[in-house]
Amino acid sequence: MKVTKETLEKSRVELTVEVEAEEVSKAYEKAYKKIAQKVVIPGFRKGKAPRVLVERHVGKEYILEEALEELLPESYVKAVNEAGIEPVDKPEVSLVSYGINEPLVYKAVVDVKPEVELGQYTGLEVTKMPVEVTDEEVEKELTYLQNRYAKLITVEDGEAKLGDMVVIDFAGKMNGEPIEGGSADNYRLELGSKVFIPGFEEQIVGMKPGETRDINVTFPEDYQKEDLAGKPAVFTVTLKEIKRKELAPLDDEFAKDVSEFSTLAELKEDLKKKIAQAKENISREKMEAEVIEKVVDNANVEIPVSMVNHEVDHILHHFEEELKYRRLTLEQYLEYQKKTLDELKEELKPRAERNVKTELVLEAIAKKEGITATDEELDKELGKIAELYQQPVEEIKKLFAQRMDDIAYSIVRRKTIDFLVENAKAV
Amino acid sequence: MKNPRDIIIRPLITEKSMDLAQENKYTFVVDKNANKIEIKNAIEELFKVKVEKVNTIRVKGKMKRVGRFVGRTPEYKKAIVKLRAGDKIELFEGV
Repeated sequence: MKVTKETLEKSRVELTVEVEAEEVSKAYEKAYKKIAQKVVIPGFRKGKAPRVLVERHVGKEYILEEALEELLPESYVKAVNEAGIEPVDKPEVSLVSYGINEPLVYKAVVDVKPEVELGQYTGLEVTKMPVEVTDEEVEKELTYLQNRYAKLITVEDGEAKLGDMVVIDFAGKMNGEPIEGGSADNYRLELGSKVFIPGFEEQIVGMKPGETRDINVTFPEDYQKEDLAGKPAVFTVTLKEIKRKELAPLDDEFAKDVSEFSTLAELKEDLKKKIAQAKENISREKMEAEVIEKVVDNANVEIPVSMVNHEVDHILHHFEEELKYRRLTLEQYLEYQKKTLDELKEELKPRAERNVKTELVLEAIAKKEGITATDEELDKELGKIAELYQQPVEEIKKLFAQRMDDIAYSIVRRKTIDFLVENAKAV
Repeated sequence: MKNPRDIIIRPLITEKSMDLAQENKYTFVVDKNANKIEIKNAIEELFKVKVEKVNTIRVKGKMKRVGRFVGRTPEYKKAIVKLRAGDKIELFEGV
């Protein structure tokens, strides 16, 4: 087999492959045997007809075609190995010459993984966010806890205030007619939560348990029920109960109630740590994003069209899944947005290009820096997955046997990003 | 019945006839009314070979029915012609 490689632009390669005549006749022989077993010729049992008859019956061209289907993929894979290229798409094949006892010559044009021209990728300046925690932030967190663990105390006598939880019966009327869906018994309403139409909650303020009051309100102009919008109505409201949130005082007792700590100081310290951790994470993520952005900007890659198209399809697929959660199909979405599928694809292209470039650049850096995934790391990752799926590691290993490369790649990717951040200059 | 092409209708090519050809015996579908001598002469003239022996068999049509109609597939005469050793007929020429 002879292979000649010719590099075209846009990271395309043209391979000219020549398969010897012997190989061709071997493949022809194989294809004939396969076909001969299947062909039925009158007067003969299956597979018993003489060769000349079979060849005349199905036609030599047909057998040749069958042979080609064996020959092409086989020789193509060999050719790819021989030429040392990494294709990212299916090849476009055009036959040059082919026949019985003739060498097979064909040209395959294929997109290959592009060469990445890396720019500067260490010592890049990235902004580091301060991770200091102020007392105010801790206080805020404490107040939140206070509210969450607040007890609702029934107020026996007293007046309803904003922020109270009240239990009411109400019946709404418009021009003396009951409003559909405008009445309820034992309804729990938080005053000031703005669940009801404006003016309603405010007018309950000041009522005492057991009191009945008529409330005059006007439905807002943009109310969803058109027959009610903008019209005045009267609600007869009976206040049954007032429940008030009682905030526990901030002391050691409180700390014991809401956490495993016994003193308030410890709780505060813990909150501070947690906030710091959260901030640290955000800051780290930002740094990662920034450094990747810069590294990718510095690099130069000629991305083949097919890779971008693949990525576009990939994004689109994800998007479709997302839409499914919202009970939408892609068609419905497109109609709603008044876009065609092609337009949407066109819009996704820049993003896809960026994604592809990022991956290529990260891969190139990993290669250059010799970053690989060790067996221990793989095992660790598998252990994590096993935990997630709640199955023994052996099972997971079997399940993911096909996807080991993916897992290894994700580890390498992670390590590469870590490497980039570590070698960046935090400012 | 002067024309030999009217006597010899077509070669009969089947698994069995292919096996017989190994023994220099060639099988043909022939006219129903032809006799062995006519067949011998016809073959000798058409293929320029020497015929040693002719066996003939009348193949009766099979009973076939389509729904309530009963019928027969056509009947034909088959001739197995033994050639002199060394003579050959290329059975695979345009059937």
